[in-house]
Amino acid sequence: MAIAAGTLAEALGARAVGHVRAAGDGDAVAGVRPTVTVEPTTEEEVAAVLVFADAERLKVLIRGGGTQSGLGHPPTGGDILLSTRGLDRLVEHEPGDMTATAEAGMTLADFQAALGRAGQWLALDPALPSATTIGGIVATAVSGPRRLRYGGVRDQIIGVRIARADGTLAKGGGKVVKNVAGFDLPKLLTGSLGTLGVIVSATFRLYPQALSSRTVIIRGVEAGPLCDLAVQLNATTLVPSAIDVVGGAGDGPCALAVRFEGSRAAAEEQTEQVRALAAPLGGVDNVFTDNDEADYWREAAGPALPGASESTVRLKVSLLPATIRPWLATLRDRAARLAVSGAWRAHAGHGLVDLRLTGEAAALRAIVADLRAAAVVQGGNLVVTDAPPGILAVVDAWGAVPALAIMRRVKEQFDPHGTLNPGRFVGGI
Amino acid sequence: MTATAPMIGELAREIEAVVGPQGLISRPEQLRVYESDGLTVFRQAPALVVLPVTTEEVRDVVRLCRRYGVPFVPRGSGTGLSGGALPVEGCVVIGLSKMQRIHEVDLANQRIVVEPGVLNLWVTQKVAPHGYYYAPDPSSQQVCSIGGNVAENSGGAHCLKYGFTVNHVLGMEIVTPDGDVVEIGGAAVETPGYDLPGIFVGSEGMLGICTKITLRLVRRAESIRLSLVAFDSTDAAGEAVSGIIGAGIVPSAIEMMDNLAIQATEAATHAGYPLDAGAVLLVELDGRAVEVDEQQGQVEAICRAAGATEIRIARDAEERTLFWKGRKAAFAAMGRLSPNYIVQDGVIPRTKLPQVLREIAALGEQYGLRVANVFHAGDGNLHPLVLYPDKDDYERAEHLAGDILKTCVAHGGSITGEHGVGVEKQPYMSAMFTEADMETHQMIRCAFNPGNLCNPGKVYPTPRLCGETPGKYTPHPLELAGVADRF
Repeated sequence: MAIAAGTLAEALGARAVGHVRAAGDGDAVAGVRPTVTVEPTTEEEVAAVLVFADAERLKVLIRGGGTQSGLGHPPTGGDILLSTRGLDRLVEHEPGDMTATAEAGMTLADFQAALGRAGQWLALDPALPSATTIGGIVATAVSGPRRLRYGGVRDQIIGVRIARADGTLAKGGGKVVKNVAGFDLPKLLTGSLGTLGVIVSATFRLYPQALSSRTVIIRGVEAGPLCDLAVQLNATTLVPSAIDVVGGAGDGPCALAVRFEGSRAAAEEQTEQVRALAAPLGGVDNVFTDNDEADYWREAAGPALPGASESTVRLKVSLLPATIRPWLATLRDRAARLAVSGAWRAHAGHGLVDLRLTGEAAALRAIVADLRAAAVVQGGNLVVTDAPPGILAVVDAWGAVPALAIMRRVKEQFDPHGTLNPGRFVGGI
Repeated sequence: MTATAPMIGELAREIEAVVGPQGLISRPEQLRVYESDGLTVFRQAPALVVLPVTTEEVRDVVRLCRRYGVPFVPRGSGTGLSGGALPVEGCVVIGLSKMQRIHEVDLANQRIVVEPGVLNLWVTQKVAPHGYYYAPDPSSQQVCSIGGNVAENSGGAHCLKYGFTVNHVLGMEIVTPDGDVVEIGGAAVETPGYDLPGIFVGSEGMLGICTKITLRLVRRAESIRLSLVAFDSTDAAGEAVSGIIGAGIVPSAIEMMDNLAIQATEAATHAGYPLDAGAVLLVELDGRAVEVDEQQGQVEAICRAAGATEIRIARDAEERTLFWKGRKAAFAAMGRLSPNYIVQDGVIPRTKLPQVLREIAALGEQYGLRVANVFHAGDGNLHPLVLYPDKDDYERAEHLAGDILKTCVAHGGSITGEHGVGVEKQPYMSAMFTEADMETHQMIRCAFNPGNLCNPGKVYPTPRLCGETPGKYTPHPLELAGVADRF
């Protein structure tokens, strides 16, 4: 249904003038272009947009920084694009309590800068922090290498405030680290891809910034022995923040990066332990600190924005750590046979593998299916995080999901008219 | 609708056909064992108790309850402190204590798969020889079950650094309130779709019954150092806690006890706590030996600066266990000071600690009752113990406990950090949440448990109606036979 920007602006009242405009090409989400874009600056305004959409039975697409707009299926409709970027305030930071609340549209980089002034940080390190928003992080549950030590979004979020599809504002959790009063709404919203409500703010537990950090990198060794070393490291009493194995889709040498944070002596001592354990593999090792280290991890985290290429897919594979090695063997085998190239980064401590593959459309479809099957048979799963429409038309971005019937009922409760981000989530939710 | 006696009799016969006579309890004197959980002031005998041993039995029992329209209440070891497993009139209690198998230990991936009746401590005992342990450690860990931990999202002293039950559960097999067996989550770190394990953990038995749980195991640290530090006052101890956290140290635990709690626990356990101290802290550091050594030096300096009168470091694992025993036995030890007491579980932002403790003391004076304090100081989780020697003072004690919770909420905290809302804290939910908040939360219950037969009457003061009725109404066989009527 096409609506005019003026109609929505009128419904929102005088305060919102300037927050509503006709949508442009840049407002399309996975090829679906809404007619109106609205950028509310208060939660009441978010609620008013949703009340309007609910009454008019309009579909609402939600966008933060747009860094994950390729995730999932293309939406099945979209009349209004609701951008959270106008909600960009730091609501509260209590350094003594090590908690902070940010509005959904605040970027991770801005949030970290504010927390950093008190020597603290939100212990999440996804790619593109200067574009990624707090709401986007919660909605997509993105994480990074240091999830190994600090956990994912679900482990750090302690409170959330949402606008429901009918415009009702509601909260779950609170602002203390330990709290079991009521159902855990923050966890339900984490990774829900905007399908249950518009996240307007979120509260997190924080960590002190590490006193020092260093990363040891072992290069020039095949993937197999490096994966085995990663499993071996997991079984030691070392306390790494990240254990990443990186390589290309074909044969060839790979690298292992292990990061340690804490006191200088502890980081140094552990780095030496890794070098000693890796010595029999015959690789070349380097130790990075300070700016070199920061540069390494920034580059490591930095894949392109979504929608980059017609012949590229990006995947997120969840594996049990000890099964990464055989899974990579399947990748190498299929990539050679199907003439697919690419690169991967396996967070071998916790088991997530980020993967980018390039090839002919038919070859990509085939390899995604094979890689998914290889993950599932070992108790894992594979999610397509970005792909051209031709591939998404035939490959389910999420794969088979257990308990889908319950998930559908959750969606029906929260969003009975299917207003929010329709169709993007598992099973077309 | 309360089930009629003939209906329960018929249901009992059908349940017995599923679980056998040894799995069914129906004699009134035996049913009384199940009339309360660890919160004994609320009592209600169930109509029946079933003790299934397999997932299929749980499923079939749930289906029977559903067919008869009889409410059912899941129960683990019954150690809960909020009445989460309190029966409702005419209900079937489904006790999971016979489901005690450990299905799989996968050390390479640091996973273990257990049944709900497995006791918390058994998990650690199973993997300890290999250098692993299960991190959540509620004080009742020798008797509480993993299934109960899942229902309550149990914490413990070490959750400051390692998180709660929810941070250690990856996946589950559950029997839904409709009687379906469903997998939620999985073995891998992420599973696509809504985080159903994330909402099932801590749902206080209202979303179904877990029959298999995949847990994360944690590698035992190279070095563990536990210090017992004495102070003249809780204010001084609180200052030390703020100093330690402010120095960027994340201890694996920081526990505080005030003088009254010390008196009680020392009499009961002889753990060697200094009887004249105004407060003691237990501070545990773990990690690499190099780092633990450095941090121990910092912790001692901070404690001395805050006025520590004594610092004792546990010499070995044995003494560490003894120090911890004093803390973990604190609730039970209160019996030495008063035959009756109420344990509370409020949470406050850590920085509000001194102020809130003063307010609690003032409330105690106002009500004329003594309050002992034992708490997880690192994360602001208080366990005030309201002592009321005379049973007739229960109401007064309950009012005082309620006022303490309201004080916690007024300071930006929560009414419960790890014990759950159950029936006990229902009246205080509205201090924390608006009607809209609670209606929203209950949408989750409506998705899992629309008929509200699964542990009804818990957590939320007003049950939300779930819109459409779940499935078509089919007349009960007894109705058709003219034995029972539907009212």
